[in-house]
Amino acid sequence: MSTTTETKTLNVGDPAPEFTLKTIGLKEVSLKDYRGKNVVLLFYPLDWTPG
Amino acid sequence: MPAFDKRTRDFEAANTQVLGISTDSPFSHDNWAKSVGISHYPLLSDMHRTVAKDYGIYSPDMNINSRATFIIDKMGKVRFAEKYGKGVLPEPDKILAEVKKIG
Repeated sequence: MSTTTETKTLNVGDPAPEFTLKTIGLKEVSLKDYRGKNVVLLFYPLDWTPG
Repeated sequence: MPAFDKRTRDFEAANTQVLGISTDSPFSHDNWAKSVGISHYPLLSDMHRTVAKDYGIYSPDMNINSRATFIIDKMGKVRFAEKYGKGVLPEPDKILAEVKKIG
């Protein structure tokens, strides 16, 4: 059992890991809310960074 | 990303939901979204870094996620993944074209 903080890799073809996260207004959003649609997940480093 | 906010309608026309994710709080998101003009898609707060780790883009030295885009299809499968170096941003046109390939 590894205790490293290194993360696993996610590859094309893998099932997308589910999540439930809060958004503005503290409303919860889950990936599964959008089943039946494609989802574009834009990870960006921090608010106030370019983009 | 304001560039994507302007194109939300094009993604919706392709049956696609855009979601932004960073490790910031919802309060920071609120300020940033108002400041740069993001109002058409949700910004999610991965404050525990669990999603960044699950998607393999956690950066331990900075304790944040790196910049990356994933496209997930209607069945919940990853169909496209792209990671970006410093200063490189995802291009809405390119991502939209990838979405359309999936259908």
